Amino acid sequence: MAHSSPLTALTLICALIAGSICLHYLVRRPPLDLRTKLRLLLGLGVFPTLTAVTSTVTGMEATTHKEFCGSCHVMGAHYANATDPNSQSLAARHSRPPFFGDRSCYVCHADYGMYGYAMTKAGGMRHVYEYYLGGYKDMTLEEAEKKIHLRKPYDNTNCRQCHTATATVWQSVPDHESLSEELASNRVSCTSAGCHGYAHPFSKALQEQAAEGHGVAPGTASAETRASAETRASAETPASAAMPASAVPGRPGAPSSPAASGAAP
Amino acid sequence: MSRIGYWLVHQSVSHLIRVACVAALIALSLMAYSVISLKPLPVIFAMSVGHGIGIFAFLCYLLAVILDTRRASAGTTSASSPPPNPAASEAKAAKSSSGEAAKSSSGKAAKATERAAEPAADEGDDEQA
Repeated sequence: MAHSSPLTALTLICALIAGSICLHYLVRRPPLDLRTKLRLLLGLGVFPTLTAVTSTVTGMEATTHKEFCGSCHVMGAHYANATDPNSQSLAARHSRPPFFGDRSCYVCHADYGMYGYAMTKAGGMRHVYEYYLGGYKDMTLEEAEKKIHLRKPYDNTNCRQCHTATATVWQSVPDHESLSEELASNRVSCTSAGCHGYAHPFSKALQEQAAEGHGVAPGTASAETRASAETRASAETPASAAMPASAVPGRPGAPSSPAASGAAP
Repeated sequence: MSRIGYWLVHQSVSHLIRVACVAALIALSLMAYSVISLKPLPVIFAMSVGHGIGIFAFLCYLLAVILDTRRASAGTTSASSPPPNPAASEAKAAKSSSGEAAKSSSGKAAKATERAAEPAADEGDDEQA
């Protein structure tokens, strides 16, 4: 996954300059006078610092992209579902808006608040640990799909970063009005089966089957489960409430047909 | 850690800078690779190991500069201080023992030695001044 941006170019240029200064010293071995010391200060201090800063910013930015999340094979199904133009799941619909669609995993799963970014990155380190040392690397996709789950219940605050609960449109929905306290205290999840449906319905269905003790055979059975879960999720989801404003038909910038926009019938 | 510190302090300046350059090249390659291949492990390695090696390289360079400055100043100080003069030290020893020699009325040889040593001691003082 190569990423081309001005920051990437700056990183590479700084690394190249610093590397050439170091190589020049190693090959030529000039006397250590003031001029050499100053040149080495650039090669060992200034340019490596610039390289470190720009590579860190680039790396941190890259970790928010959904391609980065999908680079681990156990996230393959989640990534495939999110990028599927025909999928009706919440994850897929939230991956379509151009404003944040390419960062949909991070936008929906990042903790909200002052230390949200740091806490999310710390959680990401746990994911890396689990993947490389916790056995997920050696799991097949079918095994991993049944096992992967949220560590704590999904926080409605993450939904309400965009879908503000103070808007008249939101308040005009009777269920929102009657459940406002439960939603605010996370006793009822926006992404529950009775409301907007699961964000990744296929994985939930597989987990439910695994919990009931029915083994899901890889291949057709898994595909059937996914299809049924998708259908159920799309039937359960009220389109206008679950979708971002830009993707709702009839609003500015929205696609003309409900099928193209990913809206439920 | 102290072993590494001891080893570092007792290296020659040029050797320390060579170590710094090699370490910097490793760190830079890790960081450059992380922006080319934006996958979890390269990014994490660049941000942890790469930064660590880079800081080590810069510290090696700083240590080399400090050692070079100190050794240069020490060299200047030792050059300005009087060189050890065996004739003068012998004369001083003879001077201290000259009292005893005079008492024993065998000071002729000592006086002769004193006379011979005095110009050498003056030369050393001049150098100090």
